[in-house]
Amino acid sequence: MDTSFLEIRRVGKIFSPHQNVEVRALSDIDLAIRRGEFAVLSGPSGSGKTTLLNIIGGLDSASSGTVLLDGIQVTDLGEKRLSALRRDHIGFVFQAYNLIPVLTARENIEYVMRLQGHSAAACDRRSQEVAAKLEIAELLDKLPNQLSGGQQQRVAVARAVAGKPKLILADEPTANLDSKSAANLMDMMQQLNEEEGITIIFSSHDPLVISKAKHSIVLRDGKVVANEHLD
Amino acid sequence: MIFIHFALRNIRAYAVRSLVTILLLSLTTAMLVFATAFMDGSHDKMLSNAVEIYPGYIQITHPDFRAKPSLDNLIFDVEAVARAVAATPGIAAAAPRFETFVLFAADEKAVGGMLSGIDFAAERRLSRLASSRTTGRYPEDGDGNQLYLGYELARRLQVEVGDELAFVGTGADYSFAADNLEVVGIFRTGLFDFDATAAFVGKDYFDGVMAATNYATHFIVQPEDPHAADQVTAALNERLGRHYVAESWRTTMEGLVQAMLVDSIFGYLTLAVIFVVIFFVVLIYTWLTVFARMREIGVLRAVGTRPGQILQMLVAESALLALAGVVLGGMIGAGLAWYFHLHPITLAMSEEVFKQYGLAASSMPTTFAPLIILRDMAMMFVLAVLSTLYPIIKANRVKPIEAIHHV
Amino acid sequence: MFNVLLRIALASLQRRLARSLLVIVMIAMSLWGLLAMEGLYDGMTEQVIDNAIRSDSGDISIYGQGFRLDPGLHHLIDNGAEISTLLHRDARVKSHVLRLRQDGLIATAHYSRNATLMAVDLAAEDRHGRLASYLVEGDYDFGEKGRGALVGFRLADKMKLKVGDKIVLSAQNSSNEVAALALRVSGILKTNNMALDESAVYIDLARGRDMLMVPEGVSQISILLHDRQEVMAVRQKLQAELGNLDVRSWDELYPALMQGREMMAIFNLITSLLVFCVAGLGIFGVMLVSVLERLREFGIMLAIGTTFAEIRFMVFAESFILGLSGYLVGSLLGGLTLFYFYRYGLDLTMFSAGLDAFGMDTVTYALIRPGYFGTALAAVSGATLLSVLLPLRILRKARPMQAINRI
Repeated sequence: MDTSFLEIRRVGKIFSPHQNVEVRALSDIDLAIRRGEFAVLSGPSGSGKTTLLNIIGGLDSASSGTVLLDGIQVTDLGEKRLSALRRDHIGFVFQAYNLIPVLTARENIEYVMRLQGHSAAACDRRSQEVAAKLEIAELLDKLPNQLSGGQQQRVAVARAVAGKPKLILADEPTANLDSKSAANLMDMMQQLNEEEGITIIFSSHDPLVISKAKHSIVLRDGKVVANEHLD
Repeated sequence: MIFIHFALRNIRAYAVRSLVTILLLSLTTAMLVFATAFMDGSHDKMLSNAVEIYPGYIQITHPDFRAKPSLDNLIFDVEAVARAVAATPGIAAAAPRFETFVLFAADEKAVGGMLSGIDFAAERRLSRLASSRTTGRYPEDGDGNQLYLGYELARRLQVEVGDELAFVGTGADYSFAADNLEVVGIFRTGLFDFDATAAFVGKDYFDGVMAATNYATHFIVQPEDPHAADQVTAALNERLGRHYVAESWRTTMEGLVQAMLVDSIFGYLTLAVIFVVIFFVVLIYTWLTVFARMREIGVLRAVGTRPGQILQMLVAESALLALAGVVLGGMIGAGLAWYFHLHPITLAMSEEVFKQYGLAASSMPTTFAPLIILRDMAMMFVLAVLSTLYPIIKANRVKPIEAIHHV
Repeated sequence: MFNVLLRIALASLQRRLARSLLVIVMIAMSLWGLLAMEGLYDGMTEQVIDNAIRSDSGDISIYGQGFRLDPGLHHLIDNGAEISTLLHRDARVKSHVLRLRQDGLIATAHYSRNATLMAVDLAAEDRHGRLASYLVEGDYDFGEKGRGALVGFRLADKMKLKVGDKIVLSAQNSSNEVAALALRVSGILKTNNMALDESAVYIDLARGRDMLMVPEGVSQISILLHDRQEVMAVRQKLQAELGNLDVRSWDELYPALMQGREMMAIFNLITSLLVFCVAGLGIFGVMLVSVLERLREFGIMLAIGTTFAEIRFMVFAESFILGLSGYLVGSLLGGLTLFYFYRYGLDLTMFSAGLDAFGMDTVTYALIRPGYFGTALAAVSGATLLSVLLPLRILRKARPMQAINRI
């Protein structure tokens, strides 16, 4: 049994927006995620979901504790190694899509692969493949502002997946979508999780979305209040 | 590389910034290129005018003459100097001159002036005396007491071509010298002081009345290539030995050379004030576009782009803009420099000003020097890219998480 | 309400502190450079004019009819004493001096040169144009017997004259005979009035009258006024009263200096216009972005009852605060810089040869004119106000109310 894919040990995070003011966003989080899991972080807003995802992805630093991703101690890495880690092993999907506005859908999807140093042909093949899975093959040559929210978010997922990461972190990916697009997107992510074997952790407070997950973690006030496997 | 591609897209996306940057940089570059061409051109013209009208590119004198221009420090062997000059390569023409100050007296008036004995034939190649003639004729060798007189001096003496006047002066042997002269020609170089004091007679005649045979105050040497004046001067000095010294116009006209330098310095200082503002505006526009893209930069960082790569991308962007602006401006500036090189600018308005400074130049061509233009363009390019670096580096320092949440 | 709007404007500027500071620094720097440049250049120009006025022309000069075209002893003013009385009675006249002038020759044992003999009353000249302040060597005195002479520095340099050297001055007297006078150099003057430095030899008025056999007449009466603004009025009055004489204002006597001043004014104007246009472009960019990024905010303000006029006021206020802060900092820096150069001068001794060629003092004292700051304030205000017109138009067209619901 592979229990050590993602290990979060006693992670805490304290913000001090002003002097003498401290906000404890996370305290002593202990979690373990297995390879290939489809996990959801839920909880009310302000419970620390985004902060935890950011710390796992190395976008934010923990005030205490360690994060081990596939044997690598994320919390110890410098900027350069973190960039490489994100480029090669982690895909991000943001609530606000965050596509690069000046690049077409295809270029957005291929961007990470180009960073990884793949040839143009390889990039092209992979983007076609991913786009087919996410049903956006027709939209590849459009700019982000020519796409609907749901379409943009599927491009964002495609971008996250294209570089064949080990882990995808998605922060409230459906928050800006209508329920139909949201359900659609979740189905596709689930499919990717199964077909490509990518571990996916996403956050949400939409019960419909949460119900799709196989591992549910509930946060409240920066603490884990529930942690159960549903499969 | 993908970053160049990216940069091009962003140049299109932020059209206002791109336009303003290119516009300002081309304005700046055109201004610098043209100002340099104009300053260099007008200074060259003024200097060459001042040098070529009479003083000449190279002068040979007794080593003490400049410090103490007395009759004791003359060239006492014109033949020897002439031989040394003839043996030096790169010389187009040379001739001795003997300058002395005398009192000219006409019927009504007596005015002090400079009477010089020169070789009229050789001077055709050494100075612009012949071409500055306004009335009468240019004297020839073999003329006797025929005088070639400056326009302003003639006016002050109230004499015309054909009139006679007398001079009183000191001969080379300190003897009293005086004679009657006949005005055969009047010249006007445009250098007011010179036209108001100078008068010329043939050296043969001069040597007779002034007891100056084989003597000269100095030799004028015209190099084949005026730009090689310094090298020719050095070669001359080697051949002349210790008894005589050759000096190029850079030494003999130091004041004027420096005056042009001062003029350039003030010119560039003024440009600098304008350029500081322009580069500030370029910086501000870079700042605005880079910070408008803060979230984007955050996302790029989040998906694994290294700060160095983002730097590359942003610098590529401003370098492309700078290149476009500089090339455009360089072309405009070079075009103007070329046009005004062929069709010199006439500053009728400032003629009085120039005359006052003893500069005879009413039409001033700009220089057209491709290397200088490229140098100016390169300088503007570097400055332009440098002025965009601050916002780029500053934006790049922001942590990805902050960048993503930047509003 | 205005208070609240002002507070919002200030808060908006504060929220983008770095950006706001950048604009302020840009305005301050450009103003600093412009003010320093203007004050120094004007200082230089006025210094040259001041030298010419003090040493020669005064604000107004009176000559005998025909003297300026043909400066000789037959064109003198015969009623000098009468005119003196007339001038004493005019309250606008600060001082005046009488001068007797004749062209001649200066000679030493070794050299001779043309010279302008100036027979003057030294004490009167010093009260008039502070002539003594131009003394660079020796004493400002003709000695007990009046056998001393003050010589222009360029003439002294060319004649290799030192204080104490013997000179012989010769010139034509009123009966057309050459008269000579043996003198000793008692001092050397550097007026930076090039004509004088080049040729003037000042001698005692009584001695000059003897030598030239002119017991009564004078060549020139130089007049200084309390207020230079009144030159035209006084000139007209004098010309009317002294119909047979030639009354000239300084700018008629030195047209080149007037032209130089006008060229400098045009040059300054063009530079300032350019700088303010570019700076305005910088403010425009920032204000445009600042308006666009707050569309939602403006939408909400409109939704809760703010009028568009109030929003316009707010945007104007923001731009004006930026402009005014930059103006204050720039004026302070520029003012301090000018004050420094006004007090201690800009010492360009290292270029003295070049400055001499332009007839400029080696130390330039800056001018500080209140007008500089007034014009700058108007220009900054203009630039700030103009630069928000377009952003405001864009804001109006963007229908901020509808932006509220956009993400």
